[in-house]
Amino acid sequence: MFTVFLELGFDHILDGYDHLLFLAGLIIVADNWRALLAVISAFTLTHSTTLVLSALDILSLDPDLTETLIAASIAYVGIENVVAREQKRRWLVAGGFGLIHGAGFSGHLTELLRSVMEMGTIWNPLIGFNIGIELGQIVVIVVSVPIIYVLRKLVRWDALVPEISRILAAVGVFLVISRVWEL
Amino acid sequence: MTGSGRWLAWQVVLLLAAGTVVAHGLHLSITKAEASENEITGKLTLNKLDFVEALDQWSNDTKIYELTPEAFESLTLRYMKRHLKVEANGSMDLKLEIVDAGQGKETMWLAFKFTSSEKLESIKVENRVLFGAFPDQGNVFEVKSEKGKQSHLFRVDAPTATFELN
Repeated sequence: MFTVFLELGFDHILDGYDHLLFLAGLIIVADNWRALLAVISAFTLTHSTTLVLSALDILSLDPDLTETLIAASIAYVGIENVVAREQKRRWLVAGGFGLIHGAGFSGHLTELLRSVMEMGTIWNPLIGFNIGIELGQIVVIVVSVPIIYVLRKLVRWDALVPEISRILAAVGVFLVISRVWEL
Repeated sequence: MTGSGRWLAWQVVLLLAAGTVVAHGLHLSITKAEASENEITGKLTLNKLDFVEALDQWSNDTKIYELTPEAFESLTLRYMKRHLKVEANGSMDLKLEIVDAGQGKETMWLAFKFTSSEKLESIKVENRVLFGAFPDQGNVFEVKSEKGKQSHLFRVDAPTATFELN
């Protein structure tokens, strides 16, 4: 079961355009390794925490509300990238919204696992799923960071970032509206 | 960015948005099965709303919200027979029976049985449950036999798997 859920977690983050758009919003403004490491660590730590809390039945968020807040997180990072002069303490944003993204990762999964398995055995697939998500995240970073590095050399990156961020913000706002519409 | 570049970027936004309206949920079913000498028994658990949506799409003109419990049960059995198949020892198709069913808050489950007239050496499972409705559907399948527990993830592009039982 562990490897099956690891595969599921890996696929889920790579198919999950909303999580990836949020990550993209964070990565494009991280101008050094320390900043990048801080946001990724905060995001990883908090979404893993939510997963554990949800597995222990301590935290339970409505899946529709979670999906809407995930969309809002994309809009937020996009807007902040445009309006804020400096992106200081971005790890706080990554960590805060990481809690919501974690609920998105684990919401349906935990409910399904609970109805299938004994309480003690649910950890094995859940941990596999979470490690799969982390591996997927690492792949995204390993692929995107060198591309951004090259782009920084080729184009005026400082001028491009606001344009990309406006696109992210627009997609985020659109997703919020469409998800609220579906509620 | 120039005016035409910006215009192009916004067209990309609209296209992206149009393609991503559907919420990115996790579409998953989990089956836990056990193989004895000539029988496979198990329980398939999935999301209730996902199943109703898949059944609604598959049954075309049937108004599933107006069905009697008996008619719904019969439609469910027909759907499962079409989408969950087991072949024993490389040649023999086994008949599916649904022996019980139930539901939780978000989930529903179906207890099933496949009976074989021969001793089961290996099974080929074809699990296409909900694939027609959700291209990102994943079906987790675990079977316990003399050989221990074996599990597999069925995907739209890989809907079959073979398990050696002895």
